[in-house]
Amino acid sequence: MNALWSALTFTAGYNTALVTIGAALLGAAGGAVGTFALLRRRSLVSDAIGHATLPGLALAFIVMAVLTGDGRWMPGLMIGAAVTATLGLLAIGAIVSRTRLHEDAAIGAVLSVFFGAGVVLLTVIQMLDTGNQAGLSTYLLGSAAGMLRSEALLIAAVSAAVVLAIFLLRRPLTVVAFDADYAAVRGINVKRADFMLALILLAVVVTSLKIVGLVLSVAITIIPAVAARFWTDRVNRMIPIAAGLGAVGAYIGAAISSVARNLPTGSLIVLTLFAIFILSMCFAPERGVFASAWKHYRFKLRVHERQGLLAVAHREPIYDALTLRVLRHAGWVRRDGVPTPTGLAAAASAVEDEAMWRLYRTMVPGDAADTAHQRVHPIRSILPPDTISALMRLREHEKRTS
Amino acid sequence: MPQYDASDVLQDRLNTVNIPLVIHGLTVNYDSKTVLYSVDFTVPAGSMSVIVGPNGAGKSTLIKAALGIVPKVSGQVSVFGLPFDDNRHRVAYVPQRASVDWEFPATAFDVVAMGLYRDLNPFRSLTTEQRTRVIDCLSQVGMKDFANRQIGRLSGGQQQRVFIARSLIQNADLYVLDEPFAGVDAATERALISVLRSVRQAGKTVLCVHHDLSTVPEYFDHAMLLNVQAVASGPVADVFTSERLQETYAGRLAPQQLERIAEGMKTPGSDGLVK
Amino acid sequence: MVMDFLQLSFAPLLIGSCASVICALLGNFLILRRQSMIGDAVSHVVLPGIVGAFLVTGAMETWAMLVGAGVAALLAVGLIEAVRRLGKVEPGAAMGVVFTALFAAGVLWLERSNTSSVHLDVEHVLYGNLESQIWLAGDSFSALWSLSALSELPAQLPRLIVVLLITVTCLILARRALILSTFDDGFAASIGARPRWIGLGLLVLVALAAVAAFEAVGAILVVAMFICPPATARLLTDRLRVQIGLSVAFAMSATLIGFWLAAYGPMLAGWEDSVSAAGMIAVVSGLQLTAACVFAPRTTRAAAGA
Repeated sequence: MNALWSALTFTAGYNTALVTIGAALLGAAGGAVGTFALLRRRSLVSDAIGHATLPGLALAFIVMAVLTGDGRWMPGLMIGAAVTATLGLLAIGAIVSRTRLHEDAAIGAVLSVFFGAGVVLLTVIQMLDTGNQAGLSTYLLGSAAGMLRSEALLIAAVSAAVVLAIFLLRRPLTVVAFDADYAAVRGINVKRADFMLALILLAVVVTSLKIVGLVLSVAITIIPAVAARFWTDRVNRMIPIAAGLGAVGAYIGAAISSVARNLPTGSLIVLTLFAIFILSMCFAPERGVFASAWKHYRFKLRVHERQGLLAVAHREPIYDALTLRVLRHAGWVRRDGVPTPTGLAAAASAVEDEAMWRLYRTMVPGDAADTAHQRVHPIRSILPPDTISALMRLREHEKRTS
Repeated sequence: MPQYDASDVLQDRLNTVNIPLVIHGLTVNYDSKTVLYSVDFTVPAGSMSVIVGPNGAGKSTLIKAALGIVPKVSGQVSVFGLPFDDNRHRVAYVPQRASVDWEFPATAFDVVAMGLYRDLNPFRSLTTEQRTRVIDCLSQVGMKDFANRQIGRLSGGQQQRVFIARSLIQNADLYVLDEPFAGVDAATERALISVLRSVRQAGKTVLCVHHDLSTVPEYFDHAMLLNVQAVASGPVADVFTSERLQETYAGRLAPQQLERIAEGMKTPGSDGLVK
Repeated sequence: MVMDFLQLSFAPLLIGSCASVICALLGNFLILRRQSMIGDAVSHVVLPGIVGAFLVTGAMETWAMLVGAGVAALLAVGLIEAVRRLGKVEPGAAMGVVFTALFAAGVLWLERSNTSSVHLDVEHVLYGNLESQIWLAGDSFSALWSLSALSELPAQLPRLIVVLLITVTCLILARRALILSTFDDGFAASIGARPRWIGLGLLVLVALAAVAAFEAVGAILVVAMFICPPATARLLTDRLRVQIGLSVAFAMSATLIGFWLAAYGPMLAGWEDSVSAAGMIAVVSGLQLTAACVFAPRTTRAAAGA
C-alpha cells in the first residue's frame, strides 16, 4: 500500500513519476479524442487502428534488427506502427465507399487480417532469432515495467502534443461532431475535420502501444468518452469530463502497475477506467442507471394514477393491476374497488386538470406537444399563473356552453 | 360505481370481439421522452382508417406499440376482442419501406413467401399450392414478371408493391400499413389504393399511417389526428376540419393549405391540391 | 510424404477447416445484420469465461469451458445492451467498453493464477497453435480407418465436428426465422417469429463457435473467419444460398492455402521453421476479400429505387 501511495504521489522515483504522468496525459488525450469519435459514431475504428499496428511494429523491428542488431528503438517502432495503421484506415475507407459492405464488416476485416499478418511476421522474427524480440511482445498487452526513461519521455511528450492539437482544433471538431450538416453549411470542411480526427486517433493509439498494448489500446479512446456520456449531454462539457476521467483512470492504473510489476499494465489501466465507468453509469445524477430507473418508475406511477382517477370519474371499470394498486395505496379506492370520498374528489380534480391541459393544447398547440411528458403533473405546478387564469376562463366558458 | 368482476370483463370482451382494433390509454416513452400519451383509438370494422400527424407525432410508434413491437408504459390494446398475441393471425402488418435493408439477398418471390412463415415448417420447402399463392399475390400487385428479380434492383414503387403482396398472402382481417405511399410513383399509388379498396370490399379492415393530407378525404373514411396525444378521431367528414388540423399540426400548416384541404373534402376525388 | 502429411498436416487441416467453416456460416448472417463486430466482441469475452472455468475445475475441460464462455458471453451481451440503452450510445461503443474490460479482466486473472501447467497463455489465446495439433498415430494410410489410431486425434477435432453439426442443424432449422428477422425485424415481430430470441440464439452459436475454435486458431482468426469469407461471397452474388455456399468454399480454401503457405512457404525461401498458420490463413482470406473488392462485378451498392 505504501508503495502504491508513493507511486500516486510522485514520490516513487523519477521514472515512475514520468510513466504515471505520461499515462495521465495519454488518458486525457484518449478521452478527448474519443469523445469526438463517439459523437461521429466511429468508436470502433480505433480497434482496427490498434490491431493494424502489429505488422508495422514487426516490420520496423525486422528492419532495425537487420540494420543495427537491436530492433527495439521505440521511435522507429512507432513510425512502423503508424504506417500500417494508416494503410488500415485507408483500406476501411475504400471498402466502405466502393463496395456494398458496411463499416462494421470493413473494420472487422482490416482488424483481423492486418493482425494476422502481424502474427505471421512475429513468427518470422522468432525464426530470425535476432534483435531481442522479447521486447516486442510487450507491445501486445502493454508494460510500464522496464520502460526506458527516453521512452517515457517520448510518450509524455507526444501525449502532450496531442492534447495541444485537440485544444487547437476543438472548434471545427466539436461542430462537426455535433452536427455535420450544420458544420458544412457554416463552411467547415467536414472531410478535412474527419481526416484530422482520424490522424489524432492514430497518434493516440500509436502512443499508447507501449503502455497499454495494441489489443487494449481501443479502450483508452472509448471508455472515458462513454463514461462522460452519463454525466452530461452537452458536447462542450463532455470533452473535459472525458479527458478528466481518462487522465485519472490511466494515472491510477499506471501507479498500480508500477507496484505490481508482473501484471500487464494495459489490463490494469483498462480495468481502472472501467471501474470509473461503472461508477459513472450507476451513480451519475439524471442519466445514471439508478437515477433514470427511478424517474421512469415515478413517471409510470403517475400515468397509472392519472388514468385510474379518470376511469373513476367516468365510472369505467379498472382492470389494470398496477393502476388499482396505486389508487388503493393513495386511499382513493377501497379494497373492493369502490372509490372513497377522497378518491372521488381527486378524480374530479383530475378531470379538471385534463380539461385544462386539453385547452392549453388548443391555445398553444406547439408547446403542448413538447410538454406531453408533464401532463401527469397538476397543471398549476407547471404553467405560470397568468396562463392558468386564462385557461380557467376558457374552462368556465366551456362548462357554461356544454 | 366501478366495481369489476369476471362477467364485466367478459361482457367488455364480447362487445369488442368484432372490432378490429381498440386502443385505450396508450402511453409510450422513448429515452425518457414521452412519444405517446394516453391515446384512445377505435378502428371500426370494414373501414379504411388513417392516422395522420406531423413528424415525430408518434404515428409509427402507435402501430408498433399496438402490435407489441415496442414496449408501452401503460394502456390496453385488443384486436378483435383479444390481446394481440392471441390474435396475431388476423393482422397483417406492412412496415415502412425505409425500415428495411433492400440490399438483402432475396428476390421478390422470397419476400412474399415470408408472409407464409406461420404455415411453413422447417423440414419442408414450399408446396406447389403455396408457390401458386405467392405468384397470385404478386400478380395482384402487378409484379408477377418480377418474381425472380433481386429486391435491391426494384424501384421504390415496386418494392412497396412487393410489401403489399406479402401482406395479402397472410389472409388477414385487419391490414395495418405504415406510410404505404411514401416515396412511391403515382401509378403505383393508384394501383395500390385499388388493391386496398378491393381488400375492404372483401369485408376486411384497413388502417394506414399516411403522410399526404390532400388525399385523405379521397382514400379514407375514418381518421385519427395524432400529435403525441390524440387530437380527434372519427369519420373523416367530422374530424378533418381546419381547426382540428391546425391543432394537430401545431401551426405548421399555413392557413391557406388548411382551407384547401377542407375544400378538398367537399368535392371528394378532386386532387387539385399542391403537396 | 504420406506419413508426413497424415501426422503433421491432416489433423490441423481438418481442425482449421471445421473452425473456419463454422465461423463463415455464422458470419453470413452477422454481416447481413451489420453485427460483424459481435464476432470480435465475443471472441474477446470468452477469455475470462475460459479462465474462470479453468480455475474452477483445474483443467481444460470442454464442457466447463463452454459453460464459462457461455456465461461470459451472456453477461457481456447483457452489459452491452445496458450500456447502449442507458448511455444512448451506438452499439459499437457499448461493445468496445464491455469487451475490452472483460478481456482485460481475463488477462489479469490469467497472469495472477498459475496456468503454466496447461498451455493457456495470452499469445495462445490470440493466435492459437494450429501447427502443433499433430497426430502421431497417423503413420500410414491404414491409420485412417483404425479406431485406435483415430482415437488419438487431437481432442479438438471431435469437439469441432460436434459444434459444426450443431451449428448447421440450428441454422437449417431456424433458417426462415433467421432470414426474416434479419431482413425485416418489425414484420418478424408482428408475425410471431420472435426476432429477439433469434438474435440471442445467433449470439449463443457465435459464442459456441468462438470457444470451440479459439484453442486451435486463436481469437483473431475467429474474427477473420466470421467476416472475410462471407464478405467475399457477398460481393460475388445476390442470392443467399449461393453466398453461404461460396463463403464455405472460401473459408476452406483459405485454410488449405494458408496452412500450406505457413508450413512450406518459409522452406521455399530457405528457412527451416514455419510461420503462424492461423495468421497466414487470416492473411489469405484477406487477400481473397481484396481480390473481390477490386474485381467482383457486384461490388457497388445497388442504385436506390426511384
